[in-house]
Amino acid sequence: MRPMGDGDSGDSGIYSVSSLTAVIASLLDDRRIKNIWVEGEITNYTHHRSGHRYFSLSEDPGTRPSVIRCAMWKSYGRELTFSPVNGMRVRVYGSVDLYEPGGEYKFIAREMEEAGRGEMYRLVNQWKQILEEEGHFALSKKKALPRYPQVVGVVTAENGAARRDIEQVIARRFPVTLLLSPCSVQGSGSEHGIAEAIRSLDGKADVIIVGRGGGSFEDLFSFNHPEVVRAVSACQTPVVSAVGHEVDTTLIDYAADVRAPTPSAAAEIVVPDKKELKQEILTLNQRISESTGRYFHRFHSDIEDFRLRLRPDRLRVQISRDQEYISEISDRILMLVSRECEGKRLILAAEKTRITGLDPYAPVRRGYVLVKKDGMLVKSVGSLCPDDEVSLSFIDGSAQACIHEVTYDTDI
Amino acid sequence: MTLTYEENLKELKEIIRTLESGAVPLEEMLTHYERGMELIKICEKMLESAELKIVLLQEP
Repeated sequence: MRPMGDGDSGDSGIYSVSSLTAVIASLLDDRRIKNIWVEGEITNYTHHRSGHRYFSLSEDPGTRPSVIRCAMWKSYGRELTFSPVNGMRVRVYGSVDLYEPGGEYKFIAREMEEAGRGEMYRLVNQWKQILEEEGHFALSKKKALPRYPQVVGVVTAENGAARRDIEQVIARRFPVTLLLSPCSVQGSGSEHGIAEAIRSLDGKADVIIVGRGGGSFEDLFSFNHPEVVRAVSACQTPVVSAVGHEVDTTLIDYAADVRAPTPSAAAEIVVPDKKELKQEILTLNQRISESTGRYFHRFHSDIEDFRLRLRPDRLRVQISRDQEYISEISDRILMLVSRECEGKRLILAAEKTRITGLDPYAPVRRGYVLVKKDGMLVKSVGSLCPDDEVSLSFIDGSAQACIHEVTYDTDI
Repeated sequence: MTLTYEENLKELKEIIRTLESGAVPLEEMLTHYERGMELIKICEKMLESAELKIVLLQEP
């Protein structure tokens, strides 16, 4: 079909891209879409580093969502009296324009006012509250993941990026059996398929990953659905949620036992790294060798120690030490004894001198006479009677005498 | 019955802990050592022989 019109198509009747773009631009140059207010819910909001704001206005999540991409340049954004967030219902003033380098039309917003929270977000928040009250998010329900799973269940789109990422990561880290339970992950009604895929995997794997790759808020919406959240919550097998990117949060994240930021991250969480495991085995091997080595070393050194202690030299040394000790003791005893004897001798000599002084014959030698009667020394005249026979001892002999008379010096 | 990797590793770690405590008689130590080396071989083999298998869940 030849294009109608004023000859922009050139002679060949075929449009160039720029000429077609110019036609589209002229079509969009319509009063009805210039300087107008439009109301919708903010999704996919980004405040770019450049200062410009990009977002979508969307409507009617239940059936077929309608979305218009919008941009608000930095200079207009500065005028905003509030911070737009996803889910906010807003009225935006501006015009639809063609963005030629991107081949897309955009609503260029110049003003924005709040029109209340968005329907989809309100719904999610309602669901969240209900599900929380039902106890699906309780921390006490969280199950620990097995450290070394043998079968990993995966609930995702059969040909999606998430499946590819998970397979790659698991193949690289720790190859196990992947049990796939494919389902459609977006669009209305997909929540039934996801929930069913989760239920049919339960009990058949050691751990289940439920997820999908990144997408808009609308794309990820089914993972907020109560049917899916309840299916995750009811799982006997531990579940790791992995929906979208790091920044995306869906309600199954609260019900899952572990929330992974992305499908790849989920795969890293569920299986250990083979390289690390090998390293661990290596370390354990080292430890067992070292500890047994220490044993042998200890046993050996014990034996060596005993051998040394039993050496005859050592015993001889001990004996000679004992001998030395004994001879020393005997010397000391001898010394003590001889000192004692000397003392005794001195005492004896002194005694002898003293005794010498007491010699009864000393006075006799000076000329005194000892008188004895019947062998007993007579010290008093009272022991004598007349006619008593006495012996007189002199220094050079003795004589017998008879007592004639006894006289007392004092009266008796 | 074959034990899982986890069970093998657990036993291995217990053996090492016992050996490292240093309170085992010689004969027992040798038994532990042999069992430990055996477990290490088993674990290594398990790691070597692991392979990615992809199975599509058959609806009952």
